[in-house]
Amino acid sequence: MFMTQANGPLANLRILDLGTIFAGPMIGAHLGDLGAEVIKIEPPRGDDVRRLGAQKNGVGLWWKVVARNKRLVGVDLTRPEGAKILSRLARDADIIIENYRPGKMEAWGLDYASLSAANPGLILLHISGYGRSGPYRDYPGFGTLAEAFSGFVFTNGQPDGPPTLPSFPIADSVTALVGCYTVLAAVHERRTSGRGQEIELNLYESLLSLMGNMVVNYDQTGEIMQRRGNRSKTSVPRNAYPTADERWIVVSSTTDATAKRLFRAIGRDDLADDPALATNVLRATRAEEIDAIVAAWMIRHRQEEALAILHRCDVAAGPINDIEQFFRDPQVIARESIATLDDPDLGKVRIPGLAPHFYRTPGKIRWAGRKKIGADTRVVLRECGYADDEIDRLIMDGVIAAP
Amino acid sequence: MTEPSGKAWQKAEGKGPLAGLRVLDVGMLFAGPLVATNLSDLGADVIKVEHPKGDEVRKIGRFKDGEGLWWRVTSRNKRLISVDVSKPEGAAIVRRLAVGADVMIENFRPGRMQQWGFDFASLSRDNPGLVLLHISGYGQTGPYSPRPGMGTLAEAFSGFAFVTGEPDRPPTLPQFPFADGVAAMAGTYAALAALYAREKNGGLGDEIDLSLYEPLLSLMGAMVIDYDQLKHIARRRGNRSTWSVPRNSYRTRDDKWVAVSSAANSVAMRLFRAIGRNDLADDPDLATNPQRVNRLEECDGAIARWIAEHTQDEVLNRFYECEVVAGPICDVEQLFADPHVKARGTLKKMRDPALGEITLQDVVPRFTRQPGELRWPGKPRVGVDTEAVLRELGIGDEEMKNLEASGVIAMDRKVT
Repeated sequence: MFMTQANGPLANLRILDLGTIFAGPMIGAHLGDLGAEVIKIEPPRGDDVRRLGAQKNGVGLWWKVVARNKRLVGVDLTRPEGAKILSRLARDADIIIENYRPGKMEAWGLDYASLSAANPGLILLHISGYGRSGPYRDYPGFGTLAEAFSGFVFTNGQPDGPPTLPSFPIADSVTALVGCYTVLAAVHERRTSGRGQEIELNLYESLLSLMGNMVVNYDQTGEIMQRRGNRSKTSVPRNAYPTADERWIVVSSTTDATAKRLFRAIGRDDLADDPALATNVLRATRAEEIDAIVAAWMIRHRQEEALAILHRCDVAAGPINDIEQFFRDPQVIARESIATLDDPDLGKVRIPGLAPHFYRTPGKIRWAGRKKIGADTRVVLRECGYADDEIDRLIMDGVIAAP
Repeated sequence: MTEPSGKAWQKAEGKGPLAGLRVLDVGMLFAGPLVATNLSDLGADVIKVEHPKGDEVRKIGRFKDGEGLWWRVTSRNKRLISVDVSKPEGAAIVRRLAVGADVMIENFRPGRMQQWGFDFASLSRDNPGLVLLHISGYGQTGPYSPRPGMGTLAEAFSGFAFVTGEPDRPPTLPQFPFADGVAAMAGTYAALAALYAREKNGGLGDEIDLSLYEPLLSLMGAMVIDYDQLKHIARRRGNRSTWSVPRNSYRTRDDKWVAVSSAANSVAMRLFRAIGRNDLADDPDLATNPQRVNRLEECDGAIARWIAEHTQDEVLNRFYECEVVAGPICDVEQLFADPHVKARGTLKKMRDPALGEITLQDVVPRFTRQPGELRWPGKPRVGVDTEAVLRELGIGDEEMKNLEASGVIAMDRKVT
């Protein structure tokens, strides 16, 4: 029931994707890019992602991204017969990914013990907002709440503005990345033990792992990290600066050498040679002054002109692109950072390309999310041993959906 | 010099699903090292190679008693050896370590590694199973490849900064090395994917090119396809969402903050009822997200007013009772004090030789059969494990002394 024609390092890896908005399904999307065979289980009414965000020709565009590379099977898991279908699919799967509220899977009879009885190598990844333990385990666990809970939102934004939520589901997407390496680590371990296992992941801890030194700083110095806008306390100068043509340039000086090159590029050899500004710790004490000098230089130049000078001097500086600029950028084009696919519903469609570029076994985005609910239900169930009349009956009963 | 043996890896003692995996971390600041950190949390044995001057991470961020705190986080679980890889004798040592490694991670500027003799062809001649992961700002190909590639630039380049922040304020950069952290997560699964392929193909490793800006794109959902199909340019919207209403951060009467999200219509209805606005809940013109987007100010204003009249505790109790999707916007102090964080062990207290007790974020994925483990915080002294590792490689005392004298290696040195 799993096709094995894909290329890429994960060819032959078989994944059942039971999740919805967004952490679970994004794992299937990434691993599918690298060749894994992903079967997405969606409810007969269609996955909720289909109805989110902008639509075109009756198709949700976000769905095109999230459901790429996936075969679609429409099954109602809340019905005993639907759960039974899933158990049969699970026999041949390497990995199941689910992000229902903790307890749901068990309520449907889809606990790990039952699922792995006939397939001891099965890996089951649970994702939820707060995790499967602790007092908040039953709370609804949306990404926004995890972003707020983890401290990410509190520290994001301008110092004199409100805590700022991100404009995309960052907690979900970040958790998906953690989920990708989590399940592959379990696959790695299975080689020696021959056994799968159950793993759990939550949204706020995944995000917290990105927040560098916030935890240790509070623990050791009592500092409560605040919103600081674009300045950094650890690296000076670092900011977004407006240019003469009302665009923006960012500058980073994480290493002292790049800060020196910046000073020289804007004609301030005196600052570059000042021993009192030699390190980030020293520059941090005069952040306002340094920042104002850089800002004054930037506003006198157009973005393109400023970047030409800064790049010639090997300064760590770059444009703040909007998506239109990004599409046109020669680096993006050269690397195919945006993949172009032929799509039956939309014609040519562009979505983000593969982030990891494998030299020997490159992955590939094979197709964008398919429009029809349960587009592959019939063929997958047939491969799984269901007879046609049985499939028809399940469709009639509303247990499964197929076009 | 003795035959390469890879023996330096004999001390692997990590616990977790990746126990026994050998990772050579020759990166700095932050993406490369964080890949190794992620792998080490799950049991991989990591040898970190740092410059005799000490890694840059030791010198940034906050300090306590002269000790860099951030280093404790990024170098946790790693054995530290200090070798100048730009010197031929230093490169030779790293090459010998690579013979026994499963994964080698580097994030120098493209071309540097090749200059020092670390091209994949020659590395894999000595060790065909080696997975070599390159991370750089713009990747190994394309016109910008040789440019300095800091995370900030990737955050700006990818469109992430442009869409973050309030509509009438500047694009907002994240407070943390966000692009680096995200790329490290992608690098972690990429390396493991190459190891999976190695099992199936008779033992061949692979070379992987990862940029900092491309992994960020996967976080920005439909931005690319919305532009491609509808020419919609995503912009800063502050806390409001274009596709889900209500959704915002709201200030409470006691000057704290609450986040509210209502991706599902039923949740939005419960929210209106929770704040005593049955009229909004029953209004057929507000039944769906697109309808509520049309009357955003009205919906959002009603919620903001109600929340401003109540304390954070009152708001959250009421919302939890009504199953509204809402939660506190925690600062780090609240996070430390939170009962759920405590019950789950999100944070872990450890011993540090210089700082005494120290708290770090604990391992994120919870494996049931053999959980990963934080073994130690980043060790304070430069090259503290150089001697042990080089000895395991078969390098004798005299040779080690010479290498130290000529500045190729550093052994157990205080950060300067």
